[in-house]
Amino acid sequence: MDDILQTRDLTVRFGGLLAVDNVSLHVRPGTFQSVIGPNGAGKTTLFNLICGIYKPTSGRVLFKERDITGLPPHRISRLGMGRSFQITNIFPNLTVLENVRLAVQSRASVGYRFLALASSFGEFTDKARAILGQVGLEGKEQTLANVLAHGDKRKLEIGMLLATESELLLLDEPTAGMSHDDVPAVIDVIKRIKATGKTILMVEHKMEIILAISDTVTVLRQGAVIAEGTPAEVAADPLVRSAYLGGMAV
Amino acid sequence: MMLKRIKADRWIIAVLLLLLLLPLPKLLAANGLIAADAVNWPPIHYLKRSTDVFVWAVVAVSYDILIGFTGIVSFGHSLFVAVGAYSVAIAVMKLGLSPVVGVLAAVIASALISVVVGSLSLRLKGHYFAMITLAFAEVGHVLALKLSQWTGGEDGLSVRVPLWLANRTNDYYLGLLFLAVIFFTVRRITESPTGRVLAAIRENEHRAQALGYDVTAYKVGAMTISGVIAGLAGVAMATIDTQFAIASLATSGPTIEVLLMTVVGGVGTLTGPVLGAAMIRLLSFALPGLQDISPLFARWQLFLGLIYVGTVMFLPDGIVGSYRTRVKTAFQRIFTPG
Ligand SMILES: Nc1ncnc2c1ncn2[C@@H]1O[C@H](COP(=O)(O)OP(=O)(O)OP(=O)(O)O)[C@@H](O)[C@H]1O
Ligand SMILES: [Mg+2]
Repeated sequence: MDDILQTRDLTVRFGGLLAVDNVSLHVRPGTFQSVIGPNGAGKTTLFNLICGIYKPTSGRVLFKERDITGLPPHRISRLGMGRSFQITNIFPNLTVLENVRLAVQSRASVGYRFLALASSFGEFTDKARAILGQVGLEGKEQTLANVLAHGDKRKLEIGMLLATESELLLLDEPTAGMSHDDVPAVIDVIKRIKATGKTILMVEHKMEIILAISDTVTVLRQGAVIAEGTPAEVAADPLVRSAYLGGMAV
Repeated sequence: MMLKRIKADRWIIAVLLLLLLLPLPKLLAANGLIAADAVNWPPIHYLKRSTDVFVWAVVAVSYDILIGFTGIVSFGHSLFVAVGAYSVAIAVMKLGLSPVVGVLAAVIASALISVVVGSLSLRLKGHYFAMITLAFAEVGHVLALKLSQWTGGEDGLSVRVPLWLANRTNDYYLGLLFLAVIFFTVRRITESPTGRVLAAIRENEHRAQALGYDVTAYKVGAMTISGVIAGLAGVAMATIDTQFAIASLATSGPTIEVLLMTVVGGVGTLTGPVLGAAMIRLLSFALPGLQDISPLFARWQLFLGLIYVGTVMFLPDGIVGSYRTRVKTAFQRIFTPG
């Protein structure tokens, strides 16, 4: 196998609720795979299982052919898996620059150097600034993250993710709650990341985005995979149309 | 860069200079440079109270590492002060060792206990963590009472210090030096890569973890640095301040007093806790003396409580914190374009 990520019969139960039900994913390196499904289908939970926030009830997760089931999130992150969150998840009372700088610093092993000066690692700051440019936040370096507009917070999240230089990126609804005008800029950033050869697994609701940039689409319903294939195949699948797309404009 | 720093620190430098210069005549006299009986200013009293403030300010600064820079609230912090005080007291009085050995023992003991308490309790969140730290401190308190052949039990242990330490002027200067060294070291730590991660943990623990930071390891690290500094403050207490180790140091009382200093002065500001330490220590010394004026002052803790409530209600960022926010907002109002 040379999948960068595999899940094998991944299952998690919350009390009586089977939130993720026997999900087996195969993500090939350098591809763009989307996960779609109605609200509550278990998409975010699946991501939480993959990146170690939840422990599965059964099943396994393999990343770069290594069994990572049960590893804590920080270990998985350091192996090269980055994650952005559906609900904005940043360091609110730190500056925009510091948010990204911390993400850059996380990849160097200087975190335990408590008598060095953070400001003497200028390369981290330079890199953080460059990334802020890439995601369209230049000029906002010194703004506190919590006063950013919602769209800018989403951009900041993507910037933090980029800064970790992860090989596999899990994006959980990167455009959630964004105003219509902000969406194209974020899609642009995602396309550019895709072009750099990174592997991306993304949850989204906006079908036009998914159909335009995915190589593979996986459809979840009530925790289980009900369809998988190219965007065209999935869009044409009658089961998917009735279960999910029925109510949505494609 | 350097100049900017000095400018930002002008208040700290001014206060330091003042504190350094005030008892200069005494220092000269104490060391035989001028005739001793010619100098009776500043009074011994000033020296004693100041030394006490310096030592407690160190404890407050160490507490700020936890509450202000990492976002963890411990109710057992003064356990480490007790550990430091007993380490040196036992080394000197029970084992007949040099105070220097006592200092080393204090560092090692407070580091070990920090790591143990931290690893066992930091996996718990919020108030569960606070409760566990309280429980550990209580264990320390009970041990200090029960192991009386080592600790002197209820009476505590009085420390006989070398002659040059039995001099209040020397104690004063040592205390001031101690506070200055700790203050600038801790400030440097908060500006280090580690310090930045601690701030990230305070802001959003889960995000820090998702970025690959081992949050528990960092928190245990912060507790250890903070615990060792509190331990050193305990050493200072037993050598240059009260020259005494007493079991009640490990109870929640002193920890709550330190919490008060930190909150009143301004959590996460470092200068705030120093200011808070001065206020609270001097008040808790002066207030009981006012009993002649009104019997109300017999319940002087009441006033500390009022100060606490007042701060939380009217200056939620503490004195220094509120001052800084106000200056910053004024600055932003003037300089933000648009
Ligand atoms: N920690 C938890 N404890 C109990 N139930 C949970 C937990 N996390 C998720 N769930 C439940 O699991 C189900 C799947 O939730 P999840 O957030 O994964 O859905 P989703 O597909 O991401 O939905 P959305 O499109 O709204 O983001 C929901 O019913 C949710 O209530
Ligand atoms: Mg979700």
